[in-house]
Amino acid sequence: MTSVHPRALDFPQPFLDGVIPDEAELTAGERVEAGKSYGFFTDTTLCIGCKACEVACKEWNNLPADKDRMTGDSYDNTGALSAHTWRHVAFIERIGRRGGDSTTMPPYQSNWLMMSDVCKHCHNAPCLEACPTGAIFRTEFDTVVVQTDICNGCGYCVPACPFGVVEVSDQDGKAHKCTLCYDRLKGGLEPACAKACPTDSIQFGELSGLVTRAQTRVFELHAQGQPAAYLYGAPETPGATGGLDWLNCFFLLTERPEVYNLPAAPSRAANRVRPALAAGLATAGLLTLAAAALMRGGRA
Amino acid sequence: MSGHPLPYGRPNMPAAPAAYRGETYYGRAAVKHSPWDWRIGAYMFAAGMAGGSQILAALGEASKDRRWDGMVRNARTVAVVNATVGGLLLISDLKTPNRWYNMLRIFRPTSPMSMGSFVLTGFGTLSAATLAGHALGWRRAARAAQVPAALAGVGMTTYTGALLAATSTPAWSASPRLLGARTASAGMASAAAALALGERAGGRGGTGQTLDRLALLATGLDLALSLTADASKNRAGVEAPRGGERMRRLSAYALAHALPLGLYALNAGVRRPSPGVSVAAALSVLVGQALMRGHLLQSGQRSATRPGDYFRLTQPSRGVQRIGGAGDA
Amino acid sequence: MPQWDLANADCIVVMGSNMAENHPIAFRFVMQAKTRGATLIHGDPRFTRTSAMADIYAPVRAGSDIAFLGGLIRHVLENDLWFREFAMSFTNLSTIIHEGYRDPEDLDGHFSGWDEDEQTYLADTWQYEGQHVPSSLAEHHVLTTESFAEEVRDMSEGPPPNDPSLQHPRCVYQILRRHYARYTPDMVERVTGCPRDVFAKVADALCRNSGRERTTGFCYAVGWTHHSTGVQIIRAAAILQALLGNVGRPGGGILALRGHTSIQGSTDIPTLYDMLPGYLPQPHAFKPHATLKDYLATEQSPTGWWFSFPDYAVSLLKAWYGAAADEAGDFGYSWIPKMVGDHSQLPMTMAMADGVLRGLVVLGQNPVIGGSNSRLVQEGLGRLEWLVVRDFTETETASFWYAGDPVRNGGLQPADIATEVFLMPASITGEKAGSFTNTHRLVQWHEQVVDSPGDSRSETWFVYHLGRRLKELYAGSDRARDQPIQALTWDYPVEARRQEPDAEAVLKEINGYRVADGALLSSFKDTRADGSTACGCWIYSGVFPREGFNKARERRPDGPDGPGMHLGWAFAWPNNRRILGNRASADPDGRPWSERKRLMWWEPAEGRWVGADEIDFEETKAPDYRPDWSGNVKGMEAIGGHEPFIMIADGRAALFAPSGLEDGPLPTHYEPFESPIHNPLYKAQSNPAAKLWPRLDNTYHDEADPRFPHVLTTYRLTEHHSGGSPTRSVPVTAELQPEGFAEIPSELAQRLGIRSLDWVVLSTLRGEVQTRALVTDRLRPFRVDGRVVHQIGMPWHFGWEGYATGDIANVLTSIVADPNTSMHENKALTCALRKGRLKEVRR
Repeated sequence: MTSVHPRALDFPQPFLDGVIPDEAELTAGERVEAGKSYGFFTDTTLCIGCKACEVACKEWNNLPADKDRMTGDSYDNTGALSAHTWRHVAFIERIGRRGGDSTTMPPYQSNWLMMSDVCKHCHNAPCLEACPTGAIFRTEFDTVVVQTDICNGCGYCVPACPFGVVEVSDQDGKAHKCTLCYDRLKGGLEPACAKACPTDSIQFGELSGLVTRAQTRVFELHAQGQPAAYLYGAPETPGATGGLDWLNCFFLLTERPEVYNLPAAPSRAANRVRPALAAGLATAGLLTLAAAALMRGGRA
Repeated sequence: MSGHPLPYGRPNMPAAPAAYRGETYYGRAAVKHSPWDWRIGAYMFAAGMAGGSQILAALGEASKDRRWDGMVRNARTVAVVNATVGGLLLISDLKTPNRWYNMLRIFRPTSPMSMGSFVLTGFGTLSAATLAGHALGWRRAARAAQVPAALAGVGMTTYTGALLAATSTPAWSASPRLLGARTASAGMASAAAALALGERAGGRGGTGQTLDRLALLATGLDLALSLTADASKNRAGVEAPRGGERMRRLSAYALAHALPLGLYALNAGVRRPSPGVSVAAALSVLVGQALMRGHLLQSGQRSATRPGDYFRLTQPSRGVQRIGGAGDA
Repeated sequence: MPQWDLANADCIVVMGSNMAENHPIAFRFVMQAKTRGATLIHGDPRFTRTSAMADIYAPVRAGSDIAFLGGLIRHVLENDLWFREFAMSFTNLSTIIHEGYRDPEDLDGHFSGWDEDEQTYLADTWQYEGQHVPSSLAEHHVLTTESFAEEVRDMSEGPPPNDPSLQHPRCVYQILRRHYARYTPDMVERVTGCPRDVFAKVADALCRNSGRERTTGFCYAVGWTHHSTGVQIIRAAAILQALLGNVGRPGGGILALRGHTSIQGSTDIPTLYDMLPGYLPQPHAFKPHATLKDYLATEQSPTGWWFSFPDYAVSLLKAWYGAAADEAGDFGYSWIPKMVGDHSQLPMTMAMADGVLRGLVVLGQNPVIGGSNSRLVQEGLGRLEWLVVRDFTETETASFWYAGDPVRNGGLQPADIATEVFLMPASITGEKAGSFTNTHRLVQWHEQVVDSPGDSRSETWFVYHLGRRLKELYAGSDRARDQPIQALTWDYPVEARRQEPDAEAVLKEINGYRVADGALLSSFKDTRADGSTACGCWIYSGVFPREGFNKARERRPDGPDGPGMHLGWAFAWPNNRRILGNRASADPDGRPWSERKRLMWWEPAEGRWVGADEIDFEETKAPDYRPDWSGNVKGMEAIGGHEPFIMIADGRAALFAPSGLEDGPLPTHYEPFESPIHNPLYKAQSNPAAKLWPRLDNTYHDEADPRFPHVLTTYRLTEHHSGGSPTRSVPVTAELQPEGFAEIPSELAQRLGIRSLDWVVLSTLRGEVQTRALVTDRLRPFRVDGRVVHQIGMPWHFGWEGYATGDIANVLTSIVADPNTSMHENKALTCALRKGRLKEVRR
């Protein structure tokens, strides 16, 4: 048994002449509408590490492959999110000497963690706040997108990002990151990674519904004997700290955030503008006064 | 999960997490370092010196003391040259330089880079006006532009510190206030030293002596701020530099602070200060501050590659307070 | 069972499969079951991405699955946990076996009937007492002594002898108990390396989730089939499922996870040498198959559904030979080639190397990567006169002559290889229309989306035009041997632009039609043995039931509140039935076993079986129907209304299989042919009937050979597809696993000073490979029979072509096979490991 949307019955043929209107409704149970907030809920307990999201993303967004050596870090040969990799599946082996015995593991992923990482589309996005050209903007779907025709490759968004997501490509000199498939959303389609995910580890949807779904899932897992499950990036949870408010793309994790290469309490880079400027101005003012005094004294 | 404390005490609540025990993801970086190279360090040095120069030019102009005329002209020249060269450095560091003008497409108060683009543009234009006024003999025009140029100069000596602080790079973000402050003190020290050199070259020992005192003061303050900043970073969890990086920092401290402080002290202690010692001290400050900007840039880039630094900095117990909004505001 | 039906399971046992990695889409339904609270069990030598999702991971040493499953069977029997009402009526548990039967327990590893000279079994003593039982497999003819059939009754002459009290010492129940008596938890741990308490957890979860209210499903794949005991491993699971009542019911069954998109299709309409379409036996020169009459008489089962065999065989001949097939001419039966032995890929490899086979056409395959003993494969290819490779990229099979192992590492120069290689560009899925038959027997049509580039064409195009040209070439011949080509119907319409044959026309021929007027058959029930119908594959009949209605094109799912069998979604053979044996979803009286597991039931008022699925039974046969044994009862008349498995001659699941198997009626633990330990259970070390081809270029390791102390298992990764051509040649998939590697357990790596990314050399007597090390705690040493055995894993996807490259794992494997299927044993062999690289002769 699997969930079938009633509208699926309207398309009883294997070949369609065009896109199904509001296709996301069939694949994600959700109509995509401008003015609402969208994001991903990535449930790591459902991730089987198949990397279909990585491939679907590269195929849809026409991103180049740029790795030809294995890393030796479990099955992760992608390493990190980058200008050319907008979905990255992390593999964490905690079996044997590092974790417990594989035969006595608790239910769900625990001895080999897998997690599909992605741009968090922060509510207060440091990359957007850092961008001096306005190339990075907030879309009508409340997602954060780089307009490459405006970006001049200043690279300030790169260190601004608290999650190491955005990067400037050495191929075109522009910053790139996940767009939450802006083009697909405009066409009423579910983002490519979420649609490709065979186990619904990546769930796409309108934010408030997504958060409710995620909370339900956490309680379900607790009831099923997985007390370690928690949300990261949803409102009022780890990851949604330091003025970021919340992350439109949030996660269900079962280990400390650092294990997945995520900061426990990231913060908004722009928080630091005011203190730095204030202290700088005070110092400059102080030295100006001192200089004035010295110069006057010199005349005397 | 025996043996594994729950990552978070209660579901969905960031309260009372187990202590961070140094976990990383295969030692891979958790944040990306900026794509900038030495040009950004050079620009920060040039911008600080230029901004400080215009402040001093304004003070010189305001003093109505003709002894400062040479210094004012030199300062305006330094401002224009540094702003021009600095601007070119910035553009050349863009990965798509032919779109440099998009820097002025919008103004974004949350972005020191955006702020800085306007500050630099304003500063360059005003400085050019002061210099042009000076050269063409339109003293009133020069004087009219001087105060705004100096105000922009304050921005120039300050904003690059905010620019580094407003990132997720551990070594830059660990102590934003100290970084902002030391950027201003470094700018003023460089400006005073550079202009003192001009006075010595012009044979104006008296004003040179005054600028030496200012340089001494700024350098002393800069030393105090820098040492505090470094200690504070380390306390927050940023690894202290090692190996070559440590040597570069030591030599930057030696040239920017130790040597000039000694030389200035030497000159201050004698009845007839030696111009040679003064020149040596000023040169040392300039080279040292340039090295220090390079070190700041580089050590930041390095710290971004160390996930432990970032994770220690972003622990909820103290990290939020240190680099987050609430504690820092 | 449908993959989506896994979501209805209360417990899922995945063994012999790394399902999450190699069947990620089907695994969706496993995850759905899990989120609804089902227990997932994974038994595997390696801790894989599937194990990571499991509630219970049972480490089972490669090749010891029967010991594990046998232990479970014993647990079920000795603790009386079997589903009594189900098993008593639906299996042959109470049937009495021939008095001459002797068990491996009596003969130290052999069954009775072993012929030492021929190294084969005769099945006389495995038969039901006083009866001979035809197999339900393609080869229904029983392998007994020739006179045996004359001495005993056939199945139509009376019911099988049975003892409902289960007290008879030779009833299947008692035989099973004796056979598995020694498969205790202790023995399971000793043989498989699986800790006793983990085994107990598995046994408990399995039994707790079976019965009236709950069902358990099994999933397996090539981790079970690629063994010299492959068929018997699956049999062991089948015995377990039949005992526990998990067959023919929602969430129950055994799901054979088949690879690729249409591997199921390639056995239904087979690329196998020993079968004709629809699982009809290929005529054999040494069997009584000389004439059509002989063939039909030999292979027709007197009872059960296979009684209709002549309808299907004759309709197939009519489809192939059309008007040329008439009754007088045996419908062209004599034109079908007769086989003389094992013509499977493994002996064919040797036939190439020996110069017997002179030409080879390779379609959609990459035997240099996928064939066992790759060096022998490559040497064989080098002795061919010509080789045609059809693929969408240059494969290792096409470039062996200048880049292969014999050329790179010694021996040969390209100039020494006389093989003429034709590499022909092939279209890929979206470039052609056609059907896929997936693991659930679901035939799904796909349309052409774009034209293939350049000269690349579909396989249908290639085969059609090759046949057309051959027919033109032989049109004027009057030699008898050319008649099969002359008589072949080859009248598919082609489209004008590229001369591509109409794939739907092929599907219509497969579906079948009435010869007189060409009217399409609506089901296989319409086929006749008199030549009035033609049908290319009887089990597919109904896929194109009327003109203009290609059922495989249909995409009508059940709505959100529908029954969830999705009968409107494409076509599942046979007759659109989704769950085989679904008569068993109701009790012997035809009532659902429980509300929770309701699927099909007998509706007395309507006088037929109703429910969410199409019934896999005679629709109007009442549960209380009993054969009238006073006379001779043929075909389906001999199957009672309480006997659900109609393809089996007595309608009951064969816990004890009297026929159809070459290596015994019951699964028995034998060590893999190459093993580092001695068989702890029997003197017989490995499957006595396994197929071996010992020769200098295919040498085997001795039992417990100290030179090759480690177990090697080969496997696939999510990131690559089989031989790797489709994924290693595409950058975005190649980069996900960009290099070949071997997984090495930490303990062994530490001992040998190996760290991840180091180069290591794996060697067997067949060859050596160098590859990167991936050191991991996911592979653990096994404590087996008192000693520590290390297992090394090596993915076999890699080769020298494409963006992701690496040495070929199959250089290490040998050619040794399961006796029933000629399936190679590449999941368990022995090898040596050292740190370092190969000395390169020339590169």
